[in-house]
Amino acid sequence: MLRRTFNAMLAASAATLMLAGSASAEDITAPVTPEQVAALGDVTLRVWADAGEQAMLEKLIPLYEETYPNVTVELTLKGWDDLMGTVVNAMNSNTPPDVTNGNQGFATMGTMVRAQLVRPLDDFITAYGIDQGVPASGFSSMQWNDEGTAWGQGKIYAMGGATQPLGVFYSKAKLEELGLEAPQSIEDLQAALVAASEAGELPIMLGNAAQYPLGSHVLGILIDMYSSVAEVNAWIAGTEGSTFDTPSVRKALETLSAWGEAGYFGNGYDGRSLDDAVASFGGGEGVFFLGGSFNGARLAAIDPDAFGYALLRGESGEYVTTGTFGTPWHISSKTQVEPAAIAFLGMMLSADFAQAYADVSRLPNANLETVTPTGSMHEAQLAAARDLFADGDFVGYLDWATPTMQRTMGTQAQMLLAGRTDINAFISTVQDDWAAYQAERLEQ
Amino acid sequence: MSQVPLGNGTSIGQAEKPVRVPSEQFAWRHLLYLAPGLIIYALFCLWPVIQTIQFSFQRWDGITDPRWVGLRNYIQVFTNAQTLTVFGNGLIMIIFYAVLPVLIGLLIVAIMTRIRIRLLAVFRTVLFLPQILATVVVAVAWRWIYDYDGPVNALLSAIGLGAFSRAWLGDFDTALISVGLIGTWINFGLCMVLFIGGAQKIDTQLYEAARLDGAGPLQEFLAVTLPGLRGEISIALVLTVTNALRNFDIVWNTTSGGPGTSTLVPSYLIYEGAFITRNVGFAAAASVVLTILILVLTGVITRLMRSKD
Repeated sequence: MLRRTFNAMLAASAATLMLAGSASAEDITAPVTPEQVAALGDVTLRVWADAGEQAMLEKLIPLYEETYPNVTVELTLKGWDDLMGTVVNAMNSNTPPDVTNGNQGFATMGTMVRAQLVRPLDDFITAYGIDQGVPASGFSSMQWNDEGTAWGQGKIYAMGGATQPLGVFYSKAKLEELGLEAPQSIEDLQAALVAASEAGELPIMLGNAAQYPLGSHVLGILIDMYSSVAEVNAWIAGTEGSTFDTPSVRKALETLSAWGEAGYFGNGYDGRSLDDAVASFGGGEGVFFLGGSFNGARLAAIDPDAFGYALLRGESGEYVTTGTFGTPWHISSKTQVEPAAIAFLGMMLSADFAQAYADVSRLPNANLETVTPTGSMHEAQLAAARDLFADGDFVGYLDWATPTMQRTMGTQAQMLLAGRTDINAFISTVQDDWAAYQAERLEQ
Repeated sequence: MSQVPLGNGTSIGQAEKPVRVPSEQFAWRHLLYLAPGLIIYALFCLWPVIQTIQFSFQRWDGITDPRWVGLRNYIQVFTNAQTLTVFGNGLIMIIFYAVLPVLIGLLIVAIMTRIRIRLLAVFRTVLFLPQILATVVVAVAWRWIYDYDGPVNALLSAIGLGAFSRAWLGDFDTALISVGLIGTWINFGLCMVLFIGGAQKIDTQLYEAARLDGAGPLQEFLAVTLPGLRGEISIALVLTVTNALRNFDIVWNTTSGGPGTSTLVPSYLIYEGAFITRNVGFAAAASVVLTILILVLTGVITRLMRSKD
């Protein structure tokens, strides 16, 4: 009886979904015109966003509402963890946000694609020329098969506004004191860490209380240094026969472990929050900070010229870094105001709006070549992003590999540095997590 | 004795009718009165419980069609090394959330029954304060206290024990204890207030009698105060043990379960399963196990603490 009611409810919601899907199946071939949006009458556009997008949205929304006066934007900002915990269910509700931030990977984007909660954006991307001037490989993490069980190929379901490569921040003053140049490669960085440590400086500022970013970003950067892009991406995407047990991963783990043993991360990093670490680094503690370019906005706000930023060339001699086009934006497949939603993303991702991203020290995908930086650190970041777009390669985030990988890697990395696990156990635990999920993923 | 057969013989036939008829009418009317509460309870309490049990036998991402997987989720709960560690951590939390607060509460009451404390109301309020503070506030405050540059380490350095300083919440050896002690700090006020209330109900003549018999403070506590507080201790333990096992907010706001899995607790695992990794079936199975664990433990406590008379 209960089961039957439940099935009936499921069937009903599936039917609604299909209706909604067919209603929005009309592809656009040209940008939405203000007239098309005006034809909606007075409407509200519900937008959910990560708090990191706040500064950008505060510039975008007034501009948008001025251009499309019949639309009122209702913005809901959420912290990252909160967003991740709620966005899929919200998109599944009867009153989903029309436009929302999501995340790559099986748990969030995969589920939304599988349940047809998000609208494919291929037509939008072509119509607005979003793919002009950006590397095609950057889209792969937002491309999914129709079942939502594999990414890398298929329709594009999202797009981000500002690229976020992982890189190395450094304190210019400290490097000068140590008589060092900015590192260009992993070898340079290794040498600089030794010098910093010998001089009694804290080599790397790290705040890992949330089991992040040690096992994701710091390890990610190291794996990028020694691995081929295809190898890592295949493993993250769950390609059959992939393994985490490669010589390059071992080398990365050995390096990480050696850094830990040498005390390059200092004391108490597992009790320090990432926010506190960025603040401390901004306050002059530590020579290097390894992490996403998005941390730069806060550093630039402290002093736009005191810090530097570099992508490292891996052993292959190429720029290889973990990164994306930024936190992905989706349009709900159930939206009743599709033209307004498309116009919103269109404006956000346009070349005209790119400077607004740059004004808050971010790295817009559009117009990356010509935006004006906020200072010398931002300039270095823009240059790095341009190099990456021109001839570098994006690697996916390791935690996309399985829904539990963030926890597994974060835990293992802490244990490795605390001497509670070794490299063999690290690799086998991660690979076990991976293998268990591959079986589960296909039976969804 | 002679009344029994007499009663049997005479009154049963007559008594049955007048008793039964109104009782049947009453039953229906009572159900009617119960209906509003019962419906709300069933809708918002029983139904979700039943659903959770149902989900626990399924593989479900929370959105698309669920699939029956039998006992797989339960097998995972009981065989996964991480899950077992997590439930183990939950049980260790009982020491900090329940046992220590009760002991501290009893200690305070024991002192109070011997010594008249001035400004009792003020002390009581101050000591109860942690209980009414928002746990997020508590967590943020303690995060600072335990910080590498925080007051705990500053104190240790000041007294020459700087070698022991560490990031208390980020150290494998101390994180669980540190999180647990936050729970102790939150909960002992509740125990104390319950016990003070209970102690005030104990007949003062009992204390006088004990003292006349030459009982010392310890004997007096064991013979008079402790038995007199049996009910309150039972309530305090039920509340705090439940609190310990479903602890989520303090962990969420201090360590996120780290370092490693050293402070990961069942509720955290359930939250992650249901909302982050979207393995709702596993989260539901873990919830059912946690619920049963809480029911069993609180059942044992109330049975053990039930007064013998």
